[in-house]
Amino acid sequence: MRVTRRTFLQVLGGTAGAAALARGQLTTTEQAGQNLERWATPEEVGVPSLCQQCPGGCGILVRTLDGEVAGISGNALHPINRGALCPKAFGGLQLLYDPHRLKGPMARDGKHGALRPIAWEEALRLATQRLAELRQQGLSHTVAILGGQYRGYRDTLWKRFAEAYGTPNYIRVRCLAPEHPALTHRLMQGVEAPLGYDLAQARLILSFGAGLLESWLGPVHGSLAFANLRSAGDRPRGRLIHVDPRRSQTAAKADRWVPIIPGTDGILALGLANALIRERLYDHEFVETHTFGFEDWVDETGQRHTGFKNLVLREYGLITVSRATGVPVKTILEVARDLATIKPAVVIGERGPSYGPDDLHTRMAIHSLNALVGNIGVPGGLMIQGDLPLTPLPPVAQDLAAKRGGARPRIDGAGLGEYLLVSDAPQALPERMLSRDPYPVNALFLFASNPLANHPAKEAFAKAMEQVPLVVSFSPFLDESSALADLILPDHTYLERWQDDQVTHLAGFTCFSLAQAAATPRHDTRNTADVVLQIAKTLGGSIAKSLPWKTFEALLHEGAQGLYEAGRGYVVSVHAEESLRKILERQGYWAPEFKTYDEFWQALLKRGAWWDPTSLPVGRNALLRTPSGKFEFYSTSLKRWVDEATKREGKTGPFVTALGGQDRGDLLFLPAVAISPAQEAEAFPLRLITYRLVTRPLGGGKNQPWLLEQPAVHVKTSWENWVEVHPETGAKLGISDGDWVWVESAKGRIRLRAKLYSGTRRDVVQIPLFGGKGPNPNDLIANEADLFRGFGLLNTTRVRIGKA
Amino acid sequence: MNARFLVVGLVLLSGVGLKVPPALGGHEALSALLPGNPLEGSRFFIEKGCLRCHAVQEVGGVTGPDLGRGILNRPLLEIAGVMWNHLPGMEHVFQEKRVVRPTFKPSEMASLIAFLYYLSSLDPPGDAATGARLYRQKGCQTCHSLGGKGGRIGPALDEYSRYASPLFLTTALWENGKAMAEKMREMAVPRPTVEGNDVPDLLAYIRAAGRGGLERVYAPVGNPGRGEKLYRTKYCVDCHSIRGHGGKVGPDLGITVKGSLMRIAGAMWNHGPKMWAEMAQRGIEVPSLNAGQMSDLISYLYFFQFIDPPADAARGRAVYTEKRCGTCHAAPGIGQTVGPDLAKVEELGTPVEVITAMWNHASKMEAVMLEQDIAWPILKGGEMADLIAYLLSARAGPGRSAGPRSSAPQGDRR
Repeated sequence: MRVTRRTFLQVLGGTAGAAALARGQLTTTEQAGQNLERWATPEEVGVPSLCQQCPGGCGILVRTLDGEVAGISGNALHPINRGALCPKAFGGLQLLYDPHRLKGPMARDGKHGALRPIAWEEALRLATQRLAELRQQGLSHTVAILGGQYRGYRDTLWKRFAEAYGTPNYIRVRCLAPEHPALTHRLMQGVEAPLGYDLAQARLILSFGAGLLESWLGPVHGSLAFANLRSAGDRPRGRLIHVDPRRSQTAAKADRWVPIIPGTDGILALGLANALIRERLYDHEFVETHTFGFEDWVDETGQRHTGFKNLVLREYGLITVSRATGVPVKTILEVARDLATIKPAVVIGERGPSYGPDDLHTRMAIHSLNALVGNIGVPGGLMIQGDLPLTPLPPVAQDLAAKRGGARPRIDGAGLGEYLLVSDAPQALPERMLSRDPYPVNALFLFASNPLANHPAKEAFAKAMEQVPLVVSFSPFLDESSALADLILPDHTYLERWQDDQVTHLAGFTCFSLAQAAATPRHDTRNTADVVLQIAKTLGGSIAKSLPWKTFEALLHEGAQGLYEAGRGYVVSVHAEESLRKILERQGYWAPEFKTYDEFWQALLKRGAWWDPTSLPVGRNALLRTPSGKFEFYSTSLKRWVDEATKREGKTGPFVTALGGQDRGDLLFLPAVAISPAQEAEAFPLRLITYRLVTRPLGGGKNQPWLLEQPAVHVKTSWENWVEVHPETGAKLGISDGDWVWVESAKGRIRLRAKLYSGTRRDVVQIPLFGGKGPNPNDLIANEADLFRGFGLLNTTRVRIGKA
Repeated sequence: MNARFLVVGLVLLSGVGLKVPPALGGHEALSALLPGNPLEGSRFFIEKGCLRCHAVQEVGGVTGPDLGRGILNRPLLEIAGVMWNHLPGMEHVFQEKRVVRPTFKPSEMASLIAFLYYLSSLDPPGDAATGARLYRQKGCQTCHSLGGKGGRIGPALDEYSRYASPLFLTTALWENGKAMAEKMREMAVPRPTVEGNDVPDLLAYIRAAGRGGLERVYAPVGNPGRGEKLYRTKYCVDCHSIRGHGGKVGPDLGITVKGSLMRIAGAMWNHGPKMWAEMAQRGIEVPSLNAGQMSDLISYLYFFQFIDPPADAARGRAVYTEKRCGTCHAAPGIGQTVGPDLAKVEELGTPVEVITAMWNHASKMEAVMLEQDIAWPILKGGEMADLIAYLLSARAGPGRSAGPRSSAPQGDRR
C-alpha cells in the first residue's frame, strides 16, 4: 500500500486518539501525534496590517498559521491600494524573519568597545538616566531625535516627548514630508493642509518627473489611478505625459515621454505657459476671477509690477525654451494643446526629488500650469483634504526646563536664516553637529532612520556621530548607524507591533489605518512607541503627564474615538456598500454604522482603515487662502517673508541670498526660472541622476533578498548595482555593456557595472538608489543643499566615468 | 427597521376586513408601518447581489435600470408589482450571468422594498452654477451677504457653507421664515418660493462661494417613526390630516405631499405664510424644529406615500381570474391545483409573505407557465394590492385567519 502524507497523519492521529480514549489521558507520543496533525492543519487567520516599506500607506492582510506569519496579500478593502500591492510589500516577510535581527537590547562597552546584550530594564535605565542628567544640567536642548519616514501617532509621540522634555531638536531625516503642504502650494495658494491630486478622475496627467508608477507618494495608488486613466469605459481614454530626462518605468508606460535636459523642468513649464497664453488656450474665467499677478499691476505706492503673462511672453519664447530644455518646439506646442483641451487635466511636479538649485521657482512654474488650466478645486484636479478628526489630545505640559530648552534654536537651523521656510533641514545637520553650532549634541536618538547609509552627507554624519557622547538607536537591525550606537533598544518590525498610518496627502481623501500586531514578537524587542511612553513615565513630572498612556494601543484607542464621533467618514467596507454611503453623503446625509465605540473599534481592527471619501466638491475659496484670496502668480507671502528677512538680516542676509538676491526684484516672487548657459564639459562632463526603483523600500532593503533579486528589466539585471550609460557615450569612452567602470565625482568614486541604456541622455549617467550591498551613490553625491526643502540635491552632481 | 413590526403593520394596511382607528392622533398602528431606518434594506440590496445589475444613481451594474432615478417612487405593493412584472427578464439575466436567484425572507423583502422606495427621496446633488443663478433671481443678495458681497439686513450666509445637506438650509428657512416674510413685506420685496431642486442648488452655490472652511456637517437620515411623534407633538395633526385622519384646516398631507424630501421641505417654506396666519388665528405658536427634527418629520411625510391606498378584494378576484392565476392555484370556487392551494399555505398570512413567496417561487412558476403556454401576467398599478387583498380574504375562511399573527390591534385597510 502506498503511504501518503495524508494517510500517515490520519493513521497517526487515529491511533493516538484511540489510545487516549482507552486510557483517558495522552502520552508524550500521542501529544506529538496531535501536534503533528495540528501542524498539518494549522489555524489560518488573516490579520489586517499596514505596509511600511514606503510612504504609500497600503493596507495588507497578513496570513498567519497558528499565529506564525506565513504570507502577505493586499487588503481588498483598503482605499489606498484596494487589494493591490507592489513587490516591496512582500519583502516585509524577510524583514520579520531576517536571521540577523537584533535579538534584544545591546550596549557598548565604553565609547569604542564592543556591543553586548543587556536586559531591557538596564538599557532603559541607561537611556533614562542620561536624559534625566542632561535635563538637570539645563542641557535638554542638546538631545536630538532623528526620525525617518513615518507618520501618525508615532510622530505625535515623539513630538510630544520632545516638547515636554525640552528639546527643539526633533528632526526628520527624509527627503519628503507628505503630511505637510508643499511649499509651493503654501506660497501660491496659501493652504496649510496638503493638497491631493484627484488622479482617479483626471483625464490628462502631465507629470514633471514624478514617478507615478515607481516611487511617487504611493506607487500602488498611482498605478491604480493610471489604470483607471487608461481604461476607457464610458469615458474617453485619458493620457499620461511624462517629462523626465530618464526613460523610467513611468516614462515607458506613458502615452508620451518628453525627454528633457535635467534641471530645466521649470523652464519647460514656462514655455508651456507661453504657448497656452499665446494661443489663448488658458482658462480665462479662472485666471481673471481667481488669480493675482497674471497681468501687470500697480501697487498702492504706484509702483508698476510685471505680471506673469508678460514675464512669460517676454522671457520664455518657445525657441529659447526649446534650446534650454532640449524639448522641440513642436512637442511644447502639442503638450500645451493637450493640456488645454483634455479636461480635467492635472499637472504634478510637487513632492518629487529636487529639480535643481532653483527648485522653489521651478516648482512654482510647474504649479502655475494648474492655475492656467483652471483645475484647482474641480474634480480631476487639485483637491484639498480635510484633517483627520482624531480625538484632540490634551496640550503638552511644559515645565520651566522644557520651556527653556524648547526655546533654543534648532541644531539644523530649520526655521531660521537660509532655512527660514523649512521645518527640517537634515542636510545641514552633520556640518552643524561637527562645528557644534549653535551647541554640541550630547545625546542622539535614531528612530526609523539610518543616516549613515541614506544621507547624502553620510561621511560627515559618521564623523559627527563620533562626537556625540550617547547615541541611541531603535533599529531592529544592526545597520550602518546602529552599528555605531552606544545603546540599541530594538523596535519590533512592523508586522509585530500596534501601529497606525495617517494619509492626508494623496488622493483627495483622508485615511486612518490601524493595525494590531499580526505576529507575536520573534525576539526580545519592544515597540518603540511603548518604550517612549515607558521613558516618559520614568522621567516623571510634566513629561509623564504629557504622555499619560500606559501603552501605545491605549493612545490609538483614544485617538480613534474622534473618528467615531466625527459624524462623517466610514470604516472601510466593500466597494458596493461604500458606494451607497457615498451617494447618501452626496445628498448631505450620513448614517452611522455602529452603535458603540467598541463596535467601531472592533470593525476598524477587522477591516484595517477608516476613511472619508470627499465626494462633496469644496469651494475654490477653501483652496485659495492667500492674502488676496486668489491663486498668486506673484506670491505676496514670499514677498512678506523677504521683506521681514531683509528688515531683520539686511539685503544680503542668508534668506534673501538663498533666494537669489534682492536684485532679482519681482522675479523673486514670480515663477521665474533663470535660463543658464549650457555648462561646458570640464573635468566632470556628465551629470549624475539617481532614482529609486519601485522594488526598493525605505532604508534600501539590503536584508530583503527577494527584492534585490527583482530584475530591472530595462537593463536586464538584478542582485548588484549598475550605472546606466547611453550607448553612444559608452562607444565614445570605449565602454561595452557589462564592463566594470569607475564613476567619479569631486567627492569620491565607486566601481559599478555599466549598462548601456538608450533611455539615458548622452550627457547623463544614471544610478539607482540600489540599497543592496556594494557601492552607494551617496559616495558620489555632492553635499549641496536645497535650501527650500532642507534635503540634499540628489541630481546635480557632475561625474566622469572610465573603464575600471 | 423592525421588519417584524413592518410586516404586522402591512397587514393592518393592506389586509382585507381590517379596521383603522378613527383619528390619526391616536393612530398607534401607523408607527408599525414606518421603517425605523430605511437604510437597513441597503444591506440586502448589496448582499443579495441587486447592485450587480442595478445601479443607484450611476453606481452599480448597468444590466437593469438605475433604481436611483425615481422609478420606484410608488407604494410598497406597487413596487412589488414592478418587481413581479420584470421577473422573467431578471430570470434570463440570472441564467446568462450564471448566478443563483437570490431568495428573501419576508422581513428582508420588506426592508429591501422600503430601501428602494427611500432611494427616490434623494434629490440630485446641487449644482453651484444653477444655484448662483437662483440666488440672484430670488434676490437673496438683497438681504444676505455671501463671500463678503450682498446685503446686511439678514445674517451672512457664509455660515451655511459648512453644511453638506440642504436640510439645514430648509430648517433655517422654517425657523426664520416668519421674520423674513415680515421684513420682506416691510421692504416691499416679493417673497421667493422654491421649486424642484432649488434648495440643493442654492446650497451648492453657498458652499462654493461662501467663506466656509473644509467642514462638512451632515444631516442625520430621517427616522419616520420619530417623525410621526413630532407630527403629533408639534401640533401638525391639529390642522392636517393624513388620508382623512387628523385636522381639516390644512390640506390632507397623505394626498397633497408628493416628491422628494427637499420638495416636501420646500413646500413647507412655500406655504409658510398661510400656515402662520392660521396658527396666529388659533393662538398656536409656530413650532420650532431643529435639523434632526426636520429630517424626521419630512421623512415621516415622505413615507406616507409608501403606504398603499385601500385595496379592493372584489377587484382582486377579477385580477385573479383575468390573469389566469387559477390555472394553477386553487382559490375558493376558482382554479386548478397545479400549484399549492393558496388558502392553505402556512406562510402566506401577510402581504409581504405573499410577495416574498411570489419572488422566491418565480422560477418554478415561469417554467410551468412556459410548459402550459401561459403568458406571464403583468400587474399594473394597484392590481398587486387588490390581488393580495383577495387572496388574504380567501384565507379568512374556515380553518385559517387572514388577520395578523401578532396581537396587534386590527384596523381596516388604508
